[in-house]
Amino acid sequence: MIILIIGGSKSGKSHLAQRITKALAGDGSPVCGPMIYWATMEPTDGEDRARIEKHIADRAGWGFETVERGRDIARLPIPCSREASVLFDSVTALVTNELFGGIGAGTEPDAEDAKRRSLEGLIRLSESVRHFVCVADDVFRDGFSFDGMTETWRRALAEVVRGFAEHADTVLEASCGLAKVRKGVMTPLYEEEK
Amino acid sequence: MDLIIGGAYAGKLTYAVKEYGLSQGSLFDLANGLPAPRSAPCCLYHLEAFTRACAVSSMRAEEVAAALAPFTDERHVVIVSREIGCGIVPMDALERAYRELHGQVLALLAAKAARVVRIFAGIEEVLK
Repeated sequence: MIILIIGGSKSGKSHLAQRITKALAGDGSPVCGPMIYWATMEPTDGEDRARIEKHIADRAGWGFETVERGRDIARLPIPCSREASVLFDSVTALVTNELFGGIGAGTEPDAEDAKRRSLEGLIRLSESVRHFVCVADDVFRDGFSFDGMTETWRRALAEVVRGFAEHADTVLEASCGLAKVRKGVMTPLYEEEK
Repeated sequence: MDLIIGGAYAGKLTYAVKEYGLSQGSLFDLANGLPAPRSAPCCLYHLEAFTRACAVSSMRAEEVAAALAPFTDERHVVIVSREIGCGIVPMDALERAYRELHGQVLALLAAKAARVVRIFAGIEEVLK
């Protein structure tokens, strides 16, 4: 199954994605197929590194292997088996990296190319594994007009999210750790031991 | 009048064009102000740019709704607007007035609309 989860910051979407990935990987049985946590953030400061530590602590003991790759997933070999269930975190970071990664200060990013690479990469990866769960940030309902670069990023992210929503079997909107079905049917959720 | 709302770049106008079979010539960007009233099906988009100009002119929601009435009273008109109220309410008085006015205008239009649809990542949700 291919699942896209969209939510505001701190809406619990990553944790929801973890529960869904684990439930899908297990297919109802206690023995799970391989699970991959696909990390995309390219940390630039201590705050980023602290956020990564929080995510690592949050999935300790869940049985995920970690893959770290934040861009170029449309071209590079895929480092996991066809049997894997992949939690891809996140579409937001992927688009950011494809747009701004590797370009020098003052260089104009190529938004069309970044969008194409992001969407092609997501589709390719999602078709290459057993289950694919990814998360994206909802940053689209604010009233500010942003500077050119921020707006270019916001638009690129929205268009990649829309494109992948069309491709996905299920689209969920996350809010306070709960899911509202926007497309398809609700997926199973792994129940944590209290 | 039908009303389509949603976040920035959610695919609202794409949806309107497809759903109502609109031609390019029947789409009017409200950032350029109000077009002349039309008897053929048409779509007015970027309502949030129009309400922003109205906020700068200190208009009230009822005045904005009255200005839009030649369109919103007609069955063949589709209005498209961004949702702008889900960020932090800013300190700046004009920014606050803009969000207030836009929210009130959307509520007035939604009450009047035959159909209200919210677009999320290109996916429709019928609200009314």
